[in-house]
Amino acid sequence: MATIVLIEDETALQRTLAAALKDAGHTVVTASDGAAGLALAREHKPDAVILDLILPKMDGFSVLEALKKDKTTAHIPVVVLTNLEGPEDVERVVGLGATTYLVKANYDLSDVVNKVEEVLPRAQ
Amino acid sequence: MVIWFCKPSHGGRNDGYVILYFMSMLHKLNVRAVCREEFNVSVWRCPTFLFIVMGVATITGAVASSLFATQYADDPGVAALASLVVAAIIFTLGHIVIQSLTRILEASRMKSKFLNIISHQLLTPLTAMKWSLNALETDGIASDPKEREDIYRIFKENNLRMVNIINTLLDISRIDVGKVQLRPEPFDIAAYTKTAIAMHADDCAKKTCTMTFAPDDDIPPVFADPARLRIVIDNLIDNAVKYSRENAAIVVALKKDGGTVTFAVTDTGIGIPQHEHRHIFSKFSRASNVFPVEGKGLGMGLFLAKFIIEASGGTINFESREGVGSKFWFSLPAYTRSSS
Repeated sequence: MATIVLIEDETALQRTLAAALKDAGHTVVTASDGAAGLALAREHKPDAVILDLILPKMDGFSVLEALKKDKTTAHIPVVVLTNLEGPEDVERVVGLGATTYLVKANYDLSDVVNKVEEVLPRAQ
Repeated sequence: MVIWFCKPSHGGRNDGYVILYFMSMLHKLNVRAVCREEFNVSVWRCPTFLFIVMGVATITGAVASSLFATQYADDPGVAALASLVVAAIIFTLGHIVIQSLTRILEASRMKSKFLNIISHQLLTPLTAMKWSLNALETDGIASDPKEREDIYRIFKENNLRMVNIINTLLDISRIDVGKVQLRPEPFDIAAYTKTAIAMHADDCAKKTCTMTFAPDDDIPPVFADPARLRIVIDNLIDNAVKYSRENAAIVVALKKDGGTVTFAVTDTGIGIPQHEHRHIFSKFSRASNVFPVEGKGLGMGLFLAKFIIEASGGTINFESREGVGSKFWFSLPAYTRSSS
């Protein structure tokens, strides 16, 4: 099963999503701010990164940009999971190289797990 | 366009040149972009554009009235005075109309901003509650008692968070229509401050910041609405923790001075940029430097705090330097038998 880095500062969302991903058999490494999340992604080279956009210390846009600029992490699929749904945010995130963009409130926990599994390298 | 304007005239084409010159000036001033981005209205309904039109109308009116008066009045002083009066009337009327329009557009912009912020603030706890229910429906999570207990706690916390947001909104709405009723009574501010510090201890510990409580001896109770004063104390301590960096030192102090009690929170956090100081107690006000540190918040806490403290007969103020830290304090009358 896959290793996933989950970067989400809302404890409740981080806790529930991590539990669902673990229940689906994945290994989950969590971070509550952008800088720590980027460090974890560089350290673990996970199969996917789940990334919130509004984060302390370093926002999700900067984390995504840093991941895609770094040759060692550029290949990792990034699922952006946010409640920002402005077209300009979607455009910016897609332009920076995100694989999927999900609006949290529109998905059940199982849907999010399915969407993440769809981007995992083995599923492609 | 300046070259066009200086060209020799060809009959009636001068008017066209003037209009084109005027339009090119508008382009250079970027009025269209300002109207679209700042007010989200067409140029003809935009205060910035109308201000320019008013300027042109004032000058035209002054020149026309001067010419008219010169023709019919013998005294040049009368002509000058007439021109001045006409210009002043046009300018004053135009200014009043434009100011009203600006206020209406500003209110409309605030309404949109409000809806955007509120939707966002409500979506997070709503998502947390939905995902908690989803998690409890998952066999693997539901069968583990520790997991189950944790998820129930998350659900309850987020439910409470939603209730608090709605209560804040109701308070703001009551303030707007002047229907807030404070129920003052003797309130042990020292005891509650201690409780509030304990409530924020976890968040502070996560940031490895330290919080010190420094009260004077024998702090008397204050005379205020307990439920509302708790909100103020919570907000001020919460802000200090939220906007602190790692290893920051926060000091919460209570001082008595004659008939007043002063509560103060000093932090070594990110501070507030100087040019934003005057807006900090306004609705939806959030300093521009908060987002890298803390993205969430209604921007209502300090607006509410100012209203509650002032309506309770007290004063509230702050000092802050960006990158150095902030100190927020309020003073309230100490409770005496005559208070009630």
